[in-house]
Parts: sequence; structure tokens; C-alpha cells
Amino acid sequence: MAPLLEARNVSKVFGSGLLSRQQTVALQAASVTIDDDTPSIVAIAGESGSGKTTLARLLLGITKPTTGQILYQGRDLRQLDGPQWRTFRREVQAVFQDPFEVYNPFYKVDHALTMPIGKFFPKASAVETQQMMEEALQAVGLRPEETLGRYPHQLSGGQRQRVMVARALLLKPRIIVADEPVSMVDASLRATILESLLKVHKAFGISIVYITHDLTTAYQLSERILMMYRGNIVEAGDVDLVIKAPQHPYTQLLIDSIPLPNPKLHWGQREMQARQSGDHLTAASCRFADRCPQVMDICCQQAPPLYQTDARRVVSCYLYADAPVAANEHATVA
Amino acid sequence: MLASGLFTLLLMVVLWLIGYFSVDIKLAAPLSAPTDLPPSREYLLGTDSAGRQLLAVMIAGTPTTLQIGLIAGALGMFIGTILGFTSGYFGGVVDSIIRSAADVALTVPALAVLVVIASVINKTLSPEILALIIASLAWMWPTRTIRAQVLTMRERAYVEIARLSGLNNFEIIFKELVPNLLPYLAASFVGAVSSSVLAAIGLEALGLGPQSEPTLGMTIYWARYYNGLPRGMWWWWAPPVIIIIMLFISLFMIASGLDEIANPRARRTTA
Amino acid sequence: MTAVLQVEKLRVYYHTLAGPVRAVEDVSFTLNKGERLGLVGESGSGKSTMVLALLRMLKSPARTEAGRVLLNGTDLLQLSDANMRAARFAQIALIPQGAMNSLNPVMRIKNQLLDTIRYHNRNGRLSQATMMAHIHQLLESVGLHRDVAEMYPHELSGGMKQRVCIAMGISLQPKVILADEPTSALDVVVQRQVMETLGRVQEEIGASLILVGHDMGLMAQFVHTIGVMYAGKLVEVGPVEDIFEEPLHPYTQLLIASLPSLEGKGVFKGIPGITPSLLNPPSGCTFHPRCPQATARCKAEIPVLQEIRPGRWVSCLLY
Repeated sequence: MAPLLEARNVSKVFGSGLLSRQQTVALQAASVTIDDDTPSIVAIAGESGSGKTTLARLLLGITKPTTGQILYQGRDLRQLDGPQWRTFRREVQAVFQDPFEVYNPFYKVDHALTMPIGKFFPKASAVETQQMMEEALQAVGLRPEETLGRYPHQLSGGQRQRVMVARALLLKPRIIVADEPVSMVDASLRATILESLLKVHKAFGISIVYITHDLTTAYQLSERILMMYRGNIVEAGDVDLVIKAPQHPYTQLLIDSIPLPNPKLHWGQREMQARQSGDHLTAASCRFADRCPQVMDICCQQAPPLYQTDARRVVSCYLYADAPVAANEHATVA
Repeated sequence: MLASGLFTLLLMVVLWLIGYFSVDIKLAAPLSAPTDLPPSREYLLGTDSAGRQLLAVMIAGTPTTLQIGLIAGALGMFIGTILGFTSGYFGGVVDSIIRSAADVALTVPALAVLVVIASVINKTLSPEILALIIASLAWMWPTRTIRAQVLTMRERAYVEIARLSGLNNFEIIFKELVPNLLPYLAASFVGAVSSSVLAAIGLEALGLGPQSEPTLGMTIYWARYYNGLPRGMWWWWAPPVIIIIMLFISLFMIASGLDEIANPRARRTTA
Repeated sequence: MTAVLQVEKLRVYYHTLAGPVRAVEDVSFTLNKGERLGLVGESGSGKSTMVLALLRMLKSPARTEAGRVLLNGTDLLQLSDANMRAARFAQIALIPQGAMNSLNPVMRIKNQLLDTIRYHNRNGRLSQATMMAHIHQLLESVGLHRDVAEMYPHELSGGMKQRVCIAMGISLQPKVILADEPTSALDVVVQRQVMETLGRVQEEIGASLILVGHDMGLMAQFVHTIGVMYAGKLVEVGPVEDIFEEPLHPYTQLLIASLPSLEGKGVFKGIPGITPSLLNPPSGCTFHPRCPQATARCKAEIPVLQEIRPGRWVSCLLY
């Protein structure tokens, strides 16, 4: 069961160069695996600065890791030759956050669709190209006659985003990495876009990596989830376990703070700790130590490893030191 | 703004065309008429101390001046665009080299250098060579500004999408970046032209221009040389000055108008 | 329950080359003392425009066409410019969207807070010491350490900057606070902290609050009354529990149904169609093209906001 796409113990540090500027550790020792045989939906959740977007960009091959490897079909991305890279490029596609910036304002939206067809199916005739575009648009619930031939500013944010999903579909990918695809879209249109992602997953067997800060949509869409905090994976596993019965103090805090659209269920049952002074903390400490209501001495000395508290969940917290340490870096696989 | 600028320029072109077809430009040569005559019905703009008919000189000289500006501006923009894109898009060592070269060249006092060069090769100077000299110091500003524009566009989401769609670097530059920069490039070009024209006129007015060709700047030079000012021969130095002013105003308005078009496009905000 | 702010038939149009864009159309509502009103709407609903209109901070081509804005009886729209400037921040204050970016990056926090106080204190004789004491007190009331006064904006986190903006908003103890999406760039945990601070401060100074936003979850947790805006019109107003339990207007119903919850998996219910053009709005009820309960009458008649039950207002022909 070789994984299709894998991040193996990757770290990303920004600002490492000849000039000793401040180094930012965006990601630390993260591992994610997407399987080859069964398509799955995995969510990578966290707040801004958690490293989720960095991880997404590493998986897409847009950024290179500082340490660790990104492997596609078992081969390191940096060692792929021309044709293998093209295959990777075709099979791993993306949907980005801003539904406006992703379009070149000079062209009509058709350009976003004809570009990849032109590169990966150069022999396609005009008729075939048109057919491919229409099929992709219909698969996401858009009507080609209402969408094609328009400029980006003539469509709504929701429509633009769905065209982006259609674009991702065109190349018949194996994986779509969606980086906060609905956070800049109106609430009423979000459901439609997420639904098209789900439909695409079921109909074409495409695995989805859903990057978000919204735990409720992550819960609705995915099977597995990775919770990230300041560059580390703090908890990962089956979404029902992680969200409904969170174990890591950060996950608990986060879920408690979600403003639920139910006036009777109040947020904030849990008390929040203000950020403590971080003087006694080092780069090796647990990243959550300065805010953790259950912090212990050992947390300040060394970051905890991932413990396997359940067959389908791992947590990085000394509170669960009784559990076995996760066997290998692939432990985040459900 | 763009409209007014284009209109003024167009007006000048039309007037020039009328002149071109109604006046014999051979009369711009010296000794084609009696000297030092004020404007009259026969000689609409009078004549100068060398016997040139000034109306003919204006009609012959204006395109020459503009030609110098266009060649120098175009050449400067061409070099600047290539260097600016290369530097901005590829970054790294290439960027550092080009940027340093441009920065050093910018510190050079352009007019002083031009004067030195022009006075050294004075004898064989033609409008084309003048244009080349000016172009050699006109490429730096476009390089820097285009580089800055490319830097802002390089990290845009639509460029990333293009990469994910399999486009290589050159395709991205030509298909994604250049179209969006066209208004900006046009505005820069007009700006380059007008500053080149200014440099050319400056050199000519100092006497360093082509001696045998009638140009606007040379006319000013000759007017000073022959003491046209104290002699009250306003018909000699006023027409070129007025034409130069109108030319600059129209070019400036065109450049401003294009810039206005360029900027809202570049800074379009989300709906 | 005394009414602090009464908005009557407010109308704001943007005069563009293509014609008038009806950003806010005949909006009326009442805000009582100590009440928290949440104005919910999506992009294009007119809520941000309305906030600016209340403060008379609209820029051309937007113009307030009609209506009255009564703050404790005085019509703000009729005040002279000088009086309006005096009223802003002293009587009615704004915590703008993306407020973190409205802090001057080259000024220390204390100077930015002093600006507002000084302007409104031109004729007073408050000494520097008194003003600084006031600033320290302000910062502490929003949960910040008084040392923050000496810092520059870039030294503060997003949540801290937002709290500085709240401090600026309440510095003159206004009667009405307008908060336009004050937490949109913050993460959930910080959002909760900031909102709790805002709520506490509002109660301490006895002000009323209008929270403008699109996050229904946030509204559910924070406000007393909700007003739903669609295409520039107020379509439903009511107490927050009632609205969630029994939404009356079809748009409200669809909106609440589309909210993701931790209850069901894989079920997504969006609202079909696209937001209407405010330049050429649909005839009759602006929602009828997307309304699952639309009838022929809805295409012809424009519904009016009516109080069909005490405290419950709906603008729909179904009622």
C-alpha cells in the first residue's frame, strides 16, 4: 500500500540565508500521507501561522522543504525527471483561497481553463477543448453558457471558485489540494462549493486535502483531520474522534471557542489562559506551553512526540505519555 | 487626460501635415531667402540670420526632433523592458547584477555625460547617433520601474495557477505578465520619449546637435548664437519654444492618462 | 427600554456612470439603550455602507438620499459638519473593519489614542498627566497592559491591535458603538477574547452596540437582536433566539440551513442563484428569483417591513 503523496518529516524554515536575519520556523517535523488505493478526504486545520498553508505548498511542489522529503508515488519530488514531473503536475492540482486573485484580469475566465488543456493535451482540437471545458463546468454545477466568455469581475465569488474547481478537474487529477477554498466566499455560497468538492471526490475518486481554519466545515467534509499549531501537528486522526472528543488542550480550546450558530449553546465553557511570558521556553519546548492550562515542567524542556492514544488517533501531548509513541512518522494515517 | 493629450498631439500633427504640403521644406536651408526679416505675408514666420525661412524650419525640424526622441525612447524602453523583466522575474544573482548596474548608471549626471560624449564626437553627429547616445542613458529608469512592477506581479495567485497548469517561465512572462503591463509599458514609453526629446533639445541648444539639420533645438542655438534675443527677433526663438511646450504638454498628458488606466487595473480590489 | 438610535427609511445610493446603485433602500430600525443589535448580510447587502452612512462618512459617489438618523432625538443627517465632527466618537463611535490596518505604523499607540482625546478636548484644560492616566485606564479596560501605550503597532499581535482599536472607539464613552466586522482577521480563540472584551466594555459604559458581520455563529453568541439584510433592505428583525428557532423570512431560513454545524456530516445546503444586481434589482421582492416560496405576486409587489408579532419584523408577502 504505497502512498500516493507523502510528506515525510518535513520542516520549513524561512529566513535562513547568508544574512542572519530572524528565522521563522513555519513547519516542524510534519508528516502526512495520502493513500493510493482508496481516495480519501483529509483536512489540515489550524489558525493563521499554524503552518497549514506551508504544508499545502510543500505538497503541491511549489515550495521546497528545508529538511525532510515530499514523495510522489514513492519518489522524491526533487528527483523526478521531466515526464515524471509532468505526471505529478497533472495529477496533483490546487484550488486557492482568493477567488479573484487567481484570475488574470486581462483574460476572460476561459483562459484559466484553456491554459492547462493547451499544456497537457496539446493535440486537442477546438471542439474537444470546448467539450472538456463544458464537462468540467457541468461537473461542478455550473452552466457553461452562463460562465464561459465572461470576465472574472462579471461572475460572483462563488462562481469563480467553482470555475477553479472545474479547472482542477480538467486534468483528471488524483489529488486536489484546496487551500481555504471558501473562506473568502459568502456564507450562502460556501455550501455549494464544498458540495462540489464532495461530489467530485465521490464521482471521480479524487482525494482531497482540505486546508481550513473552520473546524465545522472540516468536520462536515473530511474523514481524517490534522490539527496544527505554530508549525507542529498537535493532534491527528479520525475526524469524529478529534472534533467530538478532543484530547490535546489546544484542540479543546479551539473547539470550545467556535461560535456555534445556536444561541443556547454558549462558547467559552473553558477558561482561557492569557499568553504567559515565554522566557523559560526554548525552541525545543512544546509550542503550546505558554498558553496551556495544563502545562507541566517537562513541556517546557522538550516538545512531546506523537502518542498513539487510539487506533485512529495520535496526540502530541505529555498528558498522554502512557500511550505508546506513534510507531513511525506515518502514524497520521488513519 | 489621455483624451486631451492625444487631441493636442493630433492637432499638432494635422497642422504639421498642412504645413508639409503647403510649404517647400527646401526653404529651410540657409540662403533661401533674405535674412532677418520679421513675419510678413510672404514669409509667415520671417527668416533668420542665415536666410532660412523659419516656417519651413519649424515644419522640417519638428519631426526630426520627435524622431530623435522616438528612437532614443524606444531603444531605452526596449533595453529597459528586457532587463527589467529578467531582473524582476528571475531574481537572484542576475537581479543583483542588473540592479547594481542600473543603480550605478543612474547616479551618473546624465546631461554632463551627454555633453562630454557629444562634444567629443561632434563632427560626425547625425540625429541617429544623437538618439543612440541619449538611449544609452535612458534605459535605467525603465529597468528599475518595470522590475518593481514585475516583482509585485510575480507572486500573484494567477501566476501560481499558471505554474500549476504547466506553463514554463517564458510562457508566464509573455502570456500572463506582459499583457497586464501593457498600459504601464505604454505610459513608460511615452515618458521615455519625452525625456529623450528634452535631452536632445538640451544638447542641441548647447550647440552639440547636428549642425546641418534644422531641428527645434538647433534653431534655439542659432538664435542665441546670432544674438536673436537682444535684437528682438521674437519670431526666431518663440516658435520653437512654443512648439516644444505644446509637445511636452501633450506627451505628459498622454503619459498621465495611460498611467491612470494602468493603475486601477493593477490595483483592482475584490468585489 | 429607551430608544437611543432610531433610523428611519435610510436610503443610500451610489451614483455611477451606469446609474444609481441602490446600496441601502429604506432601512428602518430602533436601537435601545444597552442593546446589542447584529446586522447580518453577505457581500453586497449594504451593511457596511449603512454603517458609514450613520456616521456621515460616505465618500462620493455614495450619497444619502433620504431618511433620518435620530441619536437621542437629534437627526445626525441634519447636523452641521462641525457638530457632526463633535458627535463622531463622542456620541457615536466606529470600530472599523480591518481596524488593525488603520493604526498609523509610525506612531506610538499612546499618541494615536491622544489624537482622538485631544481633538475632542480642544477647549478643555485636561493636563497631559490626566490624559495619560485616561489612556492607561482605557488600555486596562480592554485587557491590555498599560505599557502597550509606548509601543508601535507592529510590536502587537492582531488581537492586541484590535483591542487598541476598541479602546479608541470607546475612549470618549459614546452612546452608540458601531463595530464593522471587528474580528474578521482573527482566529477563533482570539475572536472570543476580543468579543468578550468588547461586550464587557460596552456594558461598563452603558452604551448600545451595533455589530455588523456575516458570521451567524458569532451573532448567535453575542447579540440580543438580529437584523438580516439582503440586497440593501432589512428583511427580518427579531430577538436572536427567536430568529434561530423560527426564522420567518425565506432568506433567513435558507441562510440558517446553510450554516455548517457539528451535527450532520456531508450535508451541504447552499442557496442557489447569485446575489442580485443593485443597479437593476429584480422587480417586486428582490429575493424572489432565489426564493423557494415565491409566487407570482412576489414578482410584482414590493414587500414592506412589518411588525407581525411584538418584536418580530418581517418583509415578506407570505405574512
